[in-house]
Amino acid sequence: MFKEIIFKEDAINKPEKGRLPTSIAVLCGVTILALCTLLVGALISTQRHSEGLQQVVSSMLNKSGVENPVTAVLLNFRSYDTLLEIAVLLIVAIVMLPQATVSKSLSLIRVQQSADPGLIMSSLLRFLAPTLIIMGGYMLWTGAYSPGGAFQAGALIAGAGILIFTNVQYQVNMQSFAFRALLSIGLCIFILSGFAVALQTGQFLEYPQKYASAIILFIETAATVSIATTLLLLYLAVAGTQEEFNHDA
Amino acid sequence: MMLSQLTPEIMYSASGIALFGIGLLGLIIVPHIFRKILAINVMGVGIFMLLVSSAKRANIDADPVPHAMVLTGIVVAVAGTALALFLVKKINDLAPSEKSQ
Repeated sequence: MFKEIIFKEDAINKPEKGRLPTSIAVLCGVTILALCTLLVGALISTQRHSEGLQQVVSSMLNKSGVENPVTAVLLNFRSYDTLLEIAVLLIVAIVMLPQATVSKSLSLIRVQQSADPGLIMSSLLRFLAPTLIIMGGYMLWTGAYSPGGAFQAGALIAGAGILIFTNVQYQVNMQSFAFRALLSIGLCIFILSGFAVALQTGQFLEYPQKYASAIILFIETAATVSIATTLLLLYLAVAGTQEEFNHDA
Repeated sequence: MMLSQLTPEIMYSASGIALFGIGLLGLIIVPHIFRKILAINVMGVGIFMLLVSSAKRANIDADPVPHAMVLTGIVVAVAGTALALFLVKKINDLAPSEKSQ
């Protein structure tokens, strides 16, 4: 299905109609080359007059609850950014959900015992999927000390999910209540934690210093679940073959 | 341009600008919509690269704030790309008359 979009050029727009004349294309190329040269020249000639925020961040790092400065910026100093990022992911997920109705009776995952995924797929599934999920958990934990964190962990777990659910044996039911709950739990926990710490400190998303480490880990865990589910949904909605599930379920 | 000015940071930044230019050119001259989405992604990657490489200043550790912004930006770019591909797929499904011509 996806191959058709890539190769069937005339379905989206006709190349011979949409293509620019060569002279205009060359003109565009020359203009962009000039623009890039100008930008590189500006980059080289400009003196850096700002010290940046590195010293501010490192001086506040011991109050943030984590040791990795990037995680401290993401989840503590500029946590609004991360909150809105997860909100953007949820909005995209809502747009791409295949069907609007929720059915509470349906289970999250359906297993077809009769389907044979093949030797290669089943052994990949047996060894790679649990490894990916464990690596995701490690990534989440290590984000406090070194590069890593919720998005990296979510991407790894989504990889495991893609491996599992592009298989014929397992199918995920996007109509189920559980799937929607997994999609939205990250944003819900984030906002609720933001208000809960506001009771203590008076500011939305300003963590009390004593519990900052635990709150960041809690929010990141919930965010990881949501990010993994959202990325899985994005993949399946664009490239997946899940549609038959919703019809005969 | 003095050759001594050509530090790795400058080279990374210049590569980011070059990627941006390649993406912009692709966005303008390539007619197919799928490749336009790819071109926008190349542009975005160029800007991320410029931002990350300008976070490193001489002799001190890299500034974590641009790194965090790029990390957020990557997630939003992934979501935007997926949405664009989804819309392309919908347009493709809804345009059967184009196939018969």
